[in-house]
Amino acid sequence: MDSQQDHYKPHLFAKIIEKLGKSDDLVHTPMQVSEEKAQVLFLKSVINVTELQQLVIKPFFEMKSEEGFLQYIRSLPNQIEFTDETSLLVNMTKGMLLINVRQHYILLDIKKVNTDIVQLNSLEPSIHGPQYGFSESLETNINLLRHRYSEPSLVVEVSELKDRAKSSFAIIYDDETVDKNVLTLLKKRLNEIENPLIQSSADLENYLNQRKATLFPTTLLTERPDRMIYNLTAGKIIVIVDGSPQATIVPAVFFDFMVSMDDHYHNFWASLLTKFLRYAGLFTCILLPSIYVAIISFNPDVIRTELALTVAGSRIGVPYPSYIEVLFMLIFIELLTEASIRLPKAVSATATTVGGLILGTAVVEAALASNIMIIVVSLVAISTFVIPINEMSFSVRSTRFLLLLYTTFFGLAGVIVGFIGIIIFLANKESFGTPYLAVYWKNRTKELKVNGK
Amino acid sequence: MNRFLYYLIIINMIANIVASVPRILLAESTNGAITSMILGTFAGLFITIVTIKFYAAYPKTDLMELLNTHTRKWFSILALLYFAINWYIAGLITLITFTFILIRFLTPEMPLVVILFSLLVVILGGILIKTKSILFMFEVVIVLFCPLIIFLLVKTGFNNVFVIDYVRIAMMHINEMPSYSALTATSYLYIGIVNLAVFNKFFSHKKKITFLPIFILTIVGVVVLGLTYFAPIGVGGFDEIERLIYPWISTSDSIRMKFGLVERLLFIFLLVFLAIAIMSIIIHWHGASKLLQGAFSRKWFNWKGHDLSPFLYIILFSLIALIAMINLTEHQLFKLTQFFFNLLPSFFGISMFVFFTINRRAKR
Repeated sequence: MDSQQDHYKPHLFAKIIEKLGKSDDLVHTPMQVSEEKAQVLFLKSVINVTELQQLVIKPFFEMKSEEGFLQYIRSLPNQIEFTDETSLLVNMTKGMLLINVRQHYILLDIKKVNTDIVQLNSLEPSIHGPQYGFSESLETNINLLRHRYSEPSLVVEVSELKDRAKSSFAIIYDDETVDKNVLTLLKKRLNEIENPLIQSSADLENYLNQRKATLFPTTLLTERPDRMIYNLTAGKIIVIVDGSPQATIVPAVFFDFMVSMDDHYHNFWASLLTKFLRYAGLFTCILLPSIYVAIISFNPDVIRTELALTVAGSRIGVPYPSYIEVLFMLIFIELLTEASIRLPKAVSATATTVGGLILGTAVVEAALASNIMIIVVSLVAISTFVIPINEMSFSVRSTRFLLLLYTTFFGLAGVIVGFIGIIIFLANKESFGTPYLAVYWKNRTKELKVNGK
Repeated sequence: MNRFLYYLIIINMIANIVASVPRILLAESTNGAITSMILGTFAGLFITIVTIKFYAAYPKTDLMELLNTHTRKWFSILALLYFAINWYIAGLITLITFTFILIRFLTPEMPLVVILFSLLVVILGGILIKTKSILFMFEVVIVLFCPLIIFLLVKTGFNNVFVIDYVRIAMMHINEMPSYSALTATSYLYIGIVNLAVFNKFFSHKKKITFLPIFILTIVGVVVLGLTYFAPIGVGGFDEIERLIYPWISTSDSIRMKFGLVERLLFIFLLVFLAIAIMSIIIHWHGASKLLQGAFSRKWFNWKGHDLSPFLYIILFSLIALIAMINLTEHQLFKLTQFFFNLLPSFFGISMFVFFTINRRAKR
């Protein structure tokens, strides 16, 4: 860099002060003991002041010579290479310290991060598994992963996004198991992202898909370190954006979304039962509203006579066809779910009580929906929550409306035909070149490998 | 043998349980249906083995590539066109049969064209997807529906409506000369393997024909065939069974699940076999579309670098299906099916000739 000597304000310092000088937290401190001089430049708000004192200021006054201090600074491990002024400026704003001794400029990383507290799992809680998830600081998160997966082949590549926030992100993979094609594709796509602002892993995901309208997620967003490790051993790649307590796993196929980490912590039969429940929930949630419409409006003769009479009896007084009833109740339940997500915790209990209990009863009493409809809708709502990953649960919720539409037009045959249609759609989908709905029958280690087959 | 190969064969077998095969077999029940079934099984297995053997020599290629590289242009276009038409008609027959079945048994108030449309929307989607995805789709559908199919078949075979004496009567006719149409109908059950023409691209391993896969196929084939023929007889009696238009549907409707949520077996049966039939139609029409794409150069139908010819073909497919649907009666459809099945030996003959030509040219 610039080697011109300037006694009071070196050339580079002047430049930076010109760029960042409008901020009041920029501090420029010259240090001097007799003939020895050094200067530091930093942003007060992002610097760890204790570390600055310990690492830089105190040694400077204890050193005998400028040369000794320079050599000391140079041997510090948290020194950062810099090549041009732009990256230097970005680094300064992230909490780097610029030191000038004689003609030399040294960049030290002593940033202060206030978001490195590891948080409890909130989205994917489990009974037996680890209870703590990620923090919002990238370095802490990498530390957490390294800690859990002490394999020398684990590669951590940290770089920066090209948006205005200049967030750092890390690509983490096991060099031995990773699918090289996926890795190249991922890096290519990350390079192609040109969005002005990306704030979290979830945000990044939307741009990784490279499609505006996607119904099913092709990358998996998780907050559980154990799930990440589980996928890492299977040769998948993890992308973490700084400032986000979740990480993205690529590639992700349909069955990845149906795995709960508790499956591995329970015993065989218990986890088989929960798996069965989960898939039963999935099918209930997609098929049940449509089957209800098909049976009520098209083929009441399908179910046994007693049941048909019960259903018909409960619908006495309901003034409109079944599909409106179902649509009305489904939208109602969706509103209720959405409301309880957005509301503060203290109020959300009220919402569920008012919405679920009081309105549910009132709707039946006013003959706007049948009793059985309420049961169907509640069952569907509960089944949705059985799906372990939130993203998939949202997709499934949207899918069932499509199937409902198809059934409304074409009846009972429409349920099956539409369902096949969904399977066709999913089977044709790919996540980073991996088929989305491929079934793997091999044992667990082989099945885990993305590039196994 | 790769598991996807079994799927190709088994989907075709199961789809034909409901469609026209049992009706043809039952129509010939006093004319040597049993001997034809035995002979047809051997014929079917022979075709399966020959087809696998032929494609095993050319892993990771499909018939279109083989024809285009090894034979002259006019020959490859003619052969591919012939195959495509056969594939298309096979799918068309299943599609129209199922449209008729749906209006008879499930949605009698719905117009035929609407039923056809409801099936076409999904089938056309299935034609347009990647060939490899079709294999994954098969697997999921088979995993989901196979338990139900086994349940249905077992339920049909083991219940108090099923009278073994009728089966014994049917067995009395074992000493008759085989009938031609029953023979072709039987071998049609085994025809699923010819779809390798399109799907061979994804079978990279050298397929060796060992004893076990052939044994499994024989067992599955014999069980399916036996059920196809004997279950309607056991349930419906021997004497008038040939009068039923859809023998298997009527058979399943005579069975009642006393404690089931759905009392009549018919509905589960219809829906499950509808799913399998859609698979069968998709596989045939996807094949037809790919064969046509292989036959004709695609350069003449490009738009901004996208190949639009599949869209042209699916429009053509749906139009022909629509016209056929409007004009055919159930009886004509049955006659057409029988005629198509009767042409099967010539189809095999031409296939063998094409295989032979490719093999000879490839060796040169």
